[in-house]
Amino acid sequence: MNKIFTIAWREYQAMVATRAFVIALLMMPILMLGGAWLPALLRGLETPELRKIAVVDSTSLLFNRFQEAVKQRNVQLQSKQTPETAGTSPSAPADAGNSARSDSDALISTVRSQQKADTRGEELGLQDIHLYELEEIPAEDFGDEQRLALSERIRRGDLYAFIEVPADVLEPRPFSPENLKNPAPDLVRLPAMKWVAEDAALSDARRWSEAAMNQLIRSQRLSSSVSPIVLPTVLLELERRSPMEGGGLYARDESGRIVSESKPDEITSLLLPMIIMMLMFMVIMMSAQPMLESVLEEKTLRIAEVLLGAASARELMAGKLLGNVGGSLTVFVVYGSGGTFMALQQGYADRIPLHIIPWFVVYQILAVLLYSSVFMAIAASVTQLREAQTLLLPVWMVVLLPMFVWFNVVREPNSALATTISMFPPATPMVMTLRMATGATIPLWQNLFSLVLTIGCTYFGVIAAARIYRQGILRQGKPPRMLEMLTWIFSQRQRNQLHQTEPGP
Amino acid sequence: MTGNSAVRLRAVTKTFGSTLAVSNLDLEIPTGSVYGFIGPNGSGKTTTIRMILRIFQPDSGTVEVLGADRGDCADSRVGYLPEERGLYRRMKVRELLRYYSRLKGFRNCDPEIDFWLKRLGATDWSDRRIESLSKGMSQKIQFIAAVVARPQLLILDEPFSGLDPVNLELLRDAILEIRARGTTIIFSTHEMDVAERMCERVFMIHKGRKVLDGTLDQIRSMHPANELRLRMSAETPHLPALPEALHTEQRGQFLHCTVADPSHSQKILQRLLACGQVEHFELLRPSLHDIFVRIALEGAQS
Repeated sequence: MNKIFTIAWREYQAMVATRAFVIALLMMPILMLGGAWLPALLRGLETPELRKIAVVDSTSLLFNRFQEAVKQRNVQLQSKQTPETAGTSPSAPADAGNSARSDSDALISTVRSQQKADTRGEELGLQDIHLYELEEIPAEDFGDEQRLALSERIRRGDLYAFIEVPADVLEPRPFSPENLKNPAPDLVRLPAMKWVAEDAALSDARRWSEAAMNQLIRSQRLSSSVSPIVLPTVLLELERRSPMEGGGLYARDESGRIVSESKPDEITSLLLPMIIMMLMFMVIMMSAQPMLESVLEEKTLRIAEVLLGAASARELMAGKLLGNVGGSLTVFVVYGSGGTFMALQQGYADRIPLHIIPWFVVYQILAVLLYSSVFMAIAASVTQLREAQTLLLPVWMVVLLPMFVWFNVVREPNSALATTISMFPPATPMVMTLRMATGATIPLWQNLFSLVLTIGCTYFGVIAAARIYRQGILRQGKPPRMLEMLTWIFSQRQRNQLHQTEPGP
Repeated sequence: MTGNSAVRLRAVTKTFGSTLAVSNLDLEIPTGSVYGFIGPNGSGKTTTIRMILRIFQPDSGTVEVLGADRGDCADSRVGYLPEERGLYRRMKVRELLRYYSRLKGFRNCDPEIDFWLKRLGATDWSDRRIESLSKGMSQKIQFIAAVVARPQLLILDEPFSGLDPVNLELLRDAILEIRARGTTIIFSTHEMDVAERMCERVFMIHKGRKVLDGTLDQIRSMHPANELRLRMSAETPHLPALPEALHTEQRGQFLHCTVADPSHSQKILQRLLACGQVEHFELLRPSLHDIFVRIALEGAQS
């Protein structure tokens, strides 16, 4: 036992007391949080340009109002006003003299400002930092030659994009009950505007232009087809959204009052589970990778031969795994205490899911044992990191499986998908803690069943890895094939003897 | 310990797949001796050493080490210096020596580490990382790692490789000092002159089978002197015909003759004296190197 602890202590020191470990410890959260902040940061570094958009307005009614909307957007952007504080939208009036239109547009603006989801900066194009100016292109005789000429201007950089607005875009479709039931094919196809630019598919400017233009078209349709003042405003008021707020379950408190539990918000419902899952992922990563490097170093530098001359393969592996688990717990303590400190500082102390911690620690130990054993076995089978990477590919797919489904699991923690994946032992530690962190009530049998499955899987994983480790650690030459490794696991004769393909001198 | 033997192998056989690494090997290494293991590459030396260390288990037969005939790892009383250097590159010298010592169950190791660092002139390196040491320095540290837990049986696989003559002498003296403490030493080497100088007994394995085992005198007596080295004076016009010589070869100023039997040397001497003045005439005893090469070549031809 002393040998196991001696090996474990060295392994722990080799894992934790290194510059690489400290850097990884710091870099992981920085990179993960940085992934969220980086786009905003880079946007801040980008220099705004004045871009020109040509508009071919076949309706002859929309260009001026669209130009006004673009100007307002430019003003908003330059003054760094938010859409809410600006109190206006791209559909602001172009013609102040037209009182009917002004009133309706003012109301539209008010209604729209209330409809927060519709008036987000993203839709209004304020995330796009560039300023725009419009150039009107005569719609008469506009054809392919003109399209080509505009495209050439875009290629030269004179123009950013051009928009084609067909004349029939303002015409409402002739609706009748019969048409609604069985719409004729030509009615299903709606008149579409066209945006032509080099980055047409992903352009932010296209999105906000489409949104702004549609508001203008709608407003124009209402103004021209029904009562110019009353009905449009009434219709817009009628379609005003009514928010639905999320609320916690009701429970009886100590004084006997029925109260709603704390209201679930984005932090507790989405961010917290994700952080907890990422913590588990980081712990696995930071434990398994050093194990791979450590065993590979012992094998390639023939340290294993010296160690096996002093301790059995079983003691060696047990000591290494114990040290690795110790290192992983250090990661947990560092991140756990750091996270708790930050939560306290930010006033989120009540959001810390204390009830998960014991489960987290148990699952973490099992995950570290399982994955470190697998990494250890792979390192013992090969002689180069490159060879190890080939064998690690399927392992990484399994490690990353929870990453592919986490959002679905968080949205519906008790769905068939979430339940099934949390019963798949290699994914259980991450998915089960993810489910628990959502605050949903997980049936106790599922907790216990998945725990038993994971313990069983880890046990067999460690045993199989031990057999591969014993066979592979002194082996030199080409790496074994998968079939050969399975033989090492299941063959009784192989189990009793160490194998060596290239006997030494 | 059984009787006076530190290591005793009885009818030991070890195969790897279809390869026979060691075949029916019997070997007895007396306590307190310096026992040389010699043999060409791939002959089964390392496999034999690994069986003594319990890294490998034999397919059949028994391996008894310091009185114990079973176990799944080496006895803590056994020290091992492998041919390939097995040192953690990022560890510091003292940390590493402590680790290897504690793995052998020897916890209060600092005085012994200090003694050996001083003995091998390596005191200044105790806080240096292994990766910053030269090959020779690493070799000395590896040696200290093998002896720091005061083993009763010390297995040294090519201990002098990478050492300059000064350090080689230093390490040789250290080995003899350890031996003087009563430690049994197994000495695996390719360098026959080293084996001749260091070992009292030599064991040679070839293709998994024991081909030599005994004291150097015993081995030499089994391989009679059959080579003559001679030189005639400059006035001698020409050499006489030497029908007793199986093979002749001029090497520098000397002529080397191989004879089938040492007694033929007298006849050759008579022929030479009849022809002129003999300046040098010597019957060469085969060195361990010659015996090694002869056996290895015979094995290769067969």
